Amino acid sequence: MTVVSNPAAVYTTTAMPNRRLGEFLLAIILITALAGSLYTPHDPLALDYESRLLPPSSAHLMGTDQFGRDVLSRTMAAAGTSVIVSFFSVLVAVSFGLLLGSIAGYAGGWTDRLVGLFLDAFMAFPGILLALGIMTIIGPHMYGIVLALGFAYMPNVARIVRSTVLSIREKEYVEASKALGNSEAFTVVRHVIPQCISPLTVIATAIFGGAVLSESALSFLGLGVPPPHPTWGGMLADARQYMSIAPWLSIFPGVAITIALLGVNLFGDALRDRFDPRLAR
Amino acid sequence: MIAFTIKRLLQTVPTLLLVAVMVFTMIRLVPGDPAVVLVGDINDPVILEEVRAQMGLDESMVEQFRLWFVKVIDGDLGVSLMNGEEVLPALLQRFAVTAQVVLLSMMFAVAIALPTGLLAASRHGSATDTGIVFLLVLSLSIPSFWAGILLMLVFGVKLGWLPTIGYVSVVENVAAGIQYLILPVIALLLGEMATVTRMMRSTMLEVLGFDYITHARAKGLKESTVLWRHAFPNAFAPTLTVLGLILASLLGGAAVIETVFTLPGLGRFLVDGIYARDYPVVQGALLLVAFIYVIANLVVDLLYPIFDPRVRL
Amino acid sequence: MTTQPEPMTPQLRCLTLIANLLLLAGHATAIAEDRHLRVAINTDIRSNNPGVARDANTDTVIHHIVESLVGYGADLRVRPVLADSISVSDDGLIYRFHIRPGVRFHNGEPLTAAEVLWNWQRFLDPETKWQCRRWYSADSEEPGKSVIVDVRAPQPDTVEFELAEPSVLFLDRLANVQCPAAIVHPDSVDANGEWRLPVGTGPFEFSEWKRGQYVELRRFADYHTPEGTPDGFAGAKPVYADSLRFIVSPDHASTKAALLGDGIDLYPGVPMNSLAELKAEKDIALSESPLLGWTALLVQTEDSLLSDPRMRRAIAHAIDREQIVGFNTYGHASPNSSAVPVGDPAHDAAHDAWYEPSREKARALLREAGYAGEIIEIQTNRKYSNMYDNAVVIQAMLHSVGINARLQVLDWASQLANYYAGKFQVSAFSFSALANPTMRYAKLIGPKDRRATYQWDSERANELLAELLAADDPEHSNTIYRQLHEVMRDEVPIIGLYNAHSVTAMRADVSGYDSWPMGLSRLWGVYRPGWRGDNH
Repeated sequence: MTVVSNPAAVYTTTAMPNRRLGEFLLAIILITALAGSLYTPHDPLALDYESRLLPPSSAHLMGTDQFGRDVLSRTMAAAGTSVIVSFFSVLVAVSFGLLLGSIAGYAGGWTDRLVGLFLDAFMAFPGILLALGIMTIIGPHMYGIVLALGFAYMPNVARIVRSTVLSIREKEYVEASKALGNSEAFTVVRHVIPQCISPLTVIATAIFGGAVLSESALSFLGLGVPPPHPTWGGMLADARQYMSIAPWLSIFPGVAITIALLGVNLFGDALRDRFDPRLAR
Repeated sequence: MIAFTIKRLLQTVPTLLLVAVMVFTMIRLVPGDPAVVLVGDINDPVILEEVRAQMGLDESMVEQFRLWFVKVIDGDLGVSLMNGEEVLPALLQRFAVTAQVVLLSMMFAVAIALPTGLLAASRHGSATDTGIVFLLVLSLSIPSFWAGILLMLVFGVKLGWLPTIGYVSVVENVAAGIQYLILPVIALLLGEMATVTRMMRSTMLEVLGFDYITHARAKGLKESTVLWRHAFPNAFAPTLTVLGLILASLLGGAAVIETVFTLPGLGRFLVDGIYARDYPVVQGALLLVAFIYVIANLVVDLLYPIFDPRVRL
Repeated sequence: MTTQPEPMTPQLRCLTLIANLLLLAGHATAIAEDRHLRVAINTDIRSNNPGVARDANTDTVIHHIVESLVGYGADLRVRPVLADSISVSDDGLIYRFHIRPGVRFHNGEPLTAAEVLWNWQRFLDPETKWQCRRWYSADSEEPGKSVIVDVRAPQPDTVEFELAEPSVLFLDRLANVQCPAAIVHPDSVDANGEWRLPVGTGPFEFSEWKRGQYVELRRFADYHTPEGTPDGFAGAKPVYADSLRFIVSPDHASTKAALLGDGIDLYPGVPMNSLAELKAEKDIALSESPLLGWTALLVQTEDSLLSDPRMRRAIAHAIDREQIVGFNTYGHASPNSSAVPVGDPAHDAAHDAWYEPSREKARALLREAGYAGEIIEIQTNRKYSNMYDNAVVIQAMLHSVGINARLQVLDWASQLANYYAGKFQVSAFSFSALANPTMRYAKLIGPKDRRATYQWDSERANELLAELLAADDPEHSNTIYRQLHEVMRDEVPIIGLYNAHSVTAMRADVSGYDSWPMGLSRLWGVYRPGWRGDNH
């Protein structure tokens, strides 16, 4: 599984054209995802024996696949699936990462060491076994892939939260909150977590991109989102058998993945610029 | 430093132990077992039960773990249930293949990334910078398996310049071995290069903002001297951490690239092992992957002070 | 065999020089050591120990190295291989095999009855872990088992098997492809009885195994081929290649690229969804044959919803087998819902009777059965693209008659484990080749509470099977096959889809390769231009 190793480390400033492009591409993907869930030119699942492997034409703008399904409709529907899978993967990664990271960072001591051990073990665990394990335990649903990806990225989040918490734990306002008699939990929620928001936003964007890529890699290895939900990765994996006679099958989902990732990454860079005061010049 | 290394190595023991327990449980929770895979198409439940018993799968899980673990402590990872191959030598052999591809691509990635990152940072905000950043993000956005397939189609099939299948070790035959490595190395290179360049660029930007750089410039030093002698060493340390993380995750198996190019590497070995429910292979491979991960991080920590004198072990 | 090198004449020296120059110029591609065939296999072999640790790829490789007393001919009837004649006593209890003279093992030793006895002792010893020992041993519950009471050698070139009771399946079992009763030399094991390597009698000998990469076999120079023409696993086995290399290539798209890029010479078992593409390539030739394997939709008759035969009939009406064959095999399969394969002589018109595709009839049956939109899950996997494609098409077909069908994509080992446990509602599945329809029915029919792999548990079927296992006359068997299919059509315990074709793709200059219904590749008889007629 291609997991972007340390998304948080991808510091970059981006000049305006790249940021604009990022926002534009991201908007396209989100609009397509939304539109695709409401309307597609054809039923993305309907088989049509008569029109198999048709090249792009006015009836099928992106051609049809081996089952005569409309590639445009599938690419649109897949946008929704990819966005949903990636979004919930981020949600899982961030919520569990936030929980574990703040516990470890705030409590310190052997709790910290125990969580660290757990995170190390998780990071050393390949995503594919995690995916297979989770998918087979809870059944092959979209949730399976969400949980697998979420857990695979969770240690990244936890580490960042932990180090942020460590750095602000001793700050005066945290001490002050404790001195005022506020409970530990209140202090964490009120003062510590808000400090994590900017690094979290950046890493969440990076995870979002990573999840799109990882989902396609998992589909390639046969472990992606189960059909009939179309996904870009799954479409690409299927298309490989028709590479030279029906290149459109490979091109459109491939381009869709690249556009989505490009948008997310460029946008992520712009966010990084905004939230990282050291680079705001 | 030796004391630090020993301490760190000791700290890895609980991690490896936890990984061992996790993988042992996980692979057994997944439905299907090696006996099913092995006798599958004979379509006979009685034979299936016999083979299960032969493999010791009718023992309790705790007992199976005990039997396995006692041997692991002795340095014996057992034999593959699929083909009777000794797991440890097999793992090392596959690891050598993965390491060749990963280290080669990493070398090239670093060789390209460092000057490019430096160039982009030194021209921050210019059209060159914007262009480089765009290209980097683009190459990050192309799935590596997709790049691999396209490369194979162009250079292997259409042009016929490079072999697309099989593997020859460079130890056996240098010229042939290199031919088999070119395409996978390029396919891996794209993403690595982009990540490292981005990291290099951003840390350089940060360092270039420090006062001592302004001083150096004010002294009238040549810009290239300022960049390479003064800024670069400080910017490289954080990049090293990223390198370590990428190396750790790739050495643990670049399963997708290995599948596309039929390389007998560690990643494919693990994936095949998982699909075949070859318990000893999966367990052994996971321990090795975890070990590599831990060692790669240790090496980064040991190298860090060399580049960043502020850090002491 | 070594011959004394003759002193070189000046002319010969000159010729050698010219030959070397040509070689340097890159023209000498057809020299002896280049008589090499590269064949793709999609997983590494499991072992080189016949019938002990194996899978289909292992079978393919091993059948080049070892031979049995008998083997399947191209017409799927059992033929002598290491024997040259077989006789059966009138009571059907004594099988006598006369060993073909002149056969040698790879270590140069001649084959005699003694080695055959040694092998059978080894097979029947539980320690050997031979997977099909149960077929021949008294302590098993195998239906129609062929219990061997004694194996003896009345003469040095004759072997006799004595069975406890007559068995119509005995010769088929001896010829079985998955558990070949391969005759190897005792040198194949070490002093402790541990397996070393196969010292067989086949046309190739084991040479090198780079795990995860390739298996290499080299030509057995002293191979003594039977007279006649190649005939399945029997018949003549002329060898033109000096070595074979089976290259492990798990990814179909990569294998295809390697074939197009001349990285391999033969690609057996091309998935059907690649055919359209390979046909368009002029450098590639295809060899095709109907296959005995049976692709079917398993239906769990114990399931609360599917225990109603009307539900199963509705599904049968909803499925258009012709269209599935068109979609998923580009016509390279024969629709067939009978357990008797289309390629089998016993398959006559009676076996073609099945439910015609009709949405109206399917809907009517659903109404009758009181179906109210309950979910039906179709299990499938991504490892075998045919099963996956079938599931996708069937899901759409069921959906179109109002069945709320969902796909459940598992990994193959999980789906297979579910098959063995009977844990599925509907499963897109495929059975590997069995040469004898009686064997197929024996695997299908039986009480599910004893074996969950039995798909068909009904009184009528069980009775007919018992009759079939006792039938010793082919015509009688054929009658029962017809009856069985009629009952199957009524009860719909399983929905057969098609017998796929086996397709091997190869470089266009490769000749002499034939696909056959068993599916396993045979590389004897295969040659490239210039390999035949000179030296060999």
